[in-house]
Amino acid sequence: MRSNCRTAKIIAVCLLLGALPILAFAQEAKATRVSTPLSFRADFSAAGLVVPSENDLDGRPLLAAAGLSLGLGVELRAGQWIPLRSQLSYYSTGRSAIDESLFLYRAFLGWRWALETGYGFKLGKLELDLLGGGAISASEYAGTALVSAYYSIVAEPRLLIPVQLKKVPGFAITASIPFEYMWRGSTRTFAAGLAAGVSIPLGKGAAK
Amino acid sequence: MRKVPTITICLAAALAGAALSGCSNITASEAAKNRYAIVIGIAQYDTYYAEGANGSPNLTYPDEDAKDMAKLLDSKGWNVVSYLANGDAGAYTNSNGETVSPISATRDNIYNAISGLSTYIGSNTNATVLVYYSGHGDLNTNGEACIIPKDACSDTASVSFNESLYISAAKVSEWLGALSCKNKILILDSCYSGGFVDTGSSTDAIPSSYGILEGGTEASLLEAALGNFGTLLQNSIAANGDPDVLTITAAGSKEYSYDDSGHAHGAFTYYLLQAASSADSDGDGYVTATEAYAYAKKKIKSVWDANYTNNLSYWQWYLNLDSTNQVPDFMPHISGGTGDLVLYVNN
Repeated sequence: MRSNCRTAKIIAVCLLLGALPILAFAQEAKATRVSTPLSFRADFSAAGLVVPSENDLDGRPLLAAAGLSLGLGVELRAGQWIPLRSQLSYYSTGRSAIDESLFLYRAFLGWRWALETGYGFKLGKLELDLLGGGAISASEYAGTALVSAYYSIVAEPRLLIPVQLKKVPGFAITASIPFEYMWRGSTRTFAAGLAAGVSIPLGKGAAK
Repeated sequence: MRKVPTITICLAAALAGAALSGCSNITASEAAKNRYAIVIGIAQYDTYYAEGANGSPNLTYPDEDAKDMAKLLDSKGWNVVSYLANGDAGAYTNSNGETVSPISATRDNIYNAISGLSTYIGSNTNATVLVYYSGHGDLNTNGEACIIPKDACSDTASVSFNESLYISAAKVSEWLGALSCKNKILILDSCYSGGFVDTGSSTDAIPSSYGILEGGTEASLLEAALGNFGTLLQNSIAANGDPDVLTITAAGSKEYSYDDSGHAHGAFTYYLLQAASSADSDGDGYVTATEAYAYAKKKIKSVWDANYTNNLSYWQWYLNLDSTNQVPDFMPHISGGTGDLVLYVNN
């Protein structure tokens, strides 16, 4: 019962955080009476991660592992606002360090789907996007056939670096610091790392 | 001079500390100070039949399984405190040069060995215990998976077992649950042993009776996840702890495991023994329980099971199913949970 209340609170906070940019965007659009052009972008990125886990319920310590992920994303942009971004990632986390009693956390891998929202700040020719949201994942412990699912919250500051390519106007290189906090049963896992990728506009007139 | 934000320092320190935490380079002899194992192997039951004789319930290799497992664990970071075996495998010499003779694997002796672990553990909750069993397994009249001690067979011409002396999964869980340490490993090479496995908040994509002519083969991650996603997410939200005992079994809850005459061991135990030298995928000197399981599972599938599925005799077997209606392919199982324990220390 307690964990359901906690979960409901977390989901409510995420929805509120996700709704704020949309509300602010709607307010701004109304105030300026200017129709903000909508556009789409797609991106691909690869990340290297440090993934510590801890299980207080079972009295297990904080132990870190290394991981990597590959992600494919699509986002809706309305001017500087990013009302919605969807990303599908494949990830793999190795087994953790081993503690004094020779306990460790298992390696796990799987698929994650994240929904985020955010805002981009212009920094000269560059753009700094601040993204946040939630995700659900399906995972398997490496070497076994044990399948689990879990939810997480995600956040990512991302730098868009435009690159002039004649054939792909609006092409950009991305560099970001992804964060994720996962609820995996009674184990809490945090992931943080560095990601790099590419981003391209989709559709006609969508160049940024 | 600009100050680095405190939160950045804290985050960096936490990550660095977490990355650097954990122990490496514990030797086998150091590990053995806090790790205690009981090894049980029963080839000869209380009947008048000889070991391995036709028509008897006696098996051929569980005593060799137990002896070789005891010797291996003794050299790989365990203190083998009890060796219970019935058959002709006999004594072995441990790493201290002492001769260790088996005691009889009766129900009372098995219980005494497990409960006696508390003497070694004391108040050390970070100690680790391991119980290994090779022998007969069965389902009792309640459908619970059980292991069968030596004295659970009547000493007459009958080959029927005395179910009142069976040791059920719930009983083993109760005996191990009475130990104060956090780290517990249970390894079973017996029929129906999958009934001892607790998958925790996971679902097992291997059916309880493996095989294309039985429960099916292993489902893929996406197939298993998408088919059960709501339930799996609810299980995760329930935030129950990991299973108390890390359990590895030779077979599913509805299938047999087998002796392998080609390797003079139980088929599963043979590969579990091999895993000590072959399953250290990252070469760090440790083979975890999950790594050893993954190795044995891969070998059972590619060697033992393939012998049946790639062979005309498999289909002949199907057409002439014996009274048990079991094809001899099977698949090992392991318990769920995010945690793992080192099984073999090679340092």
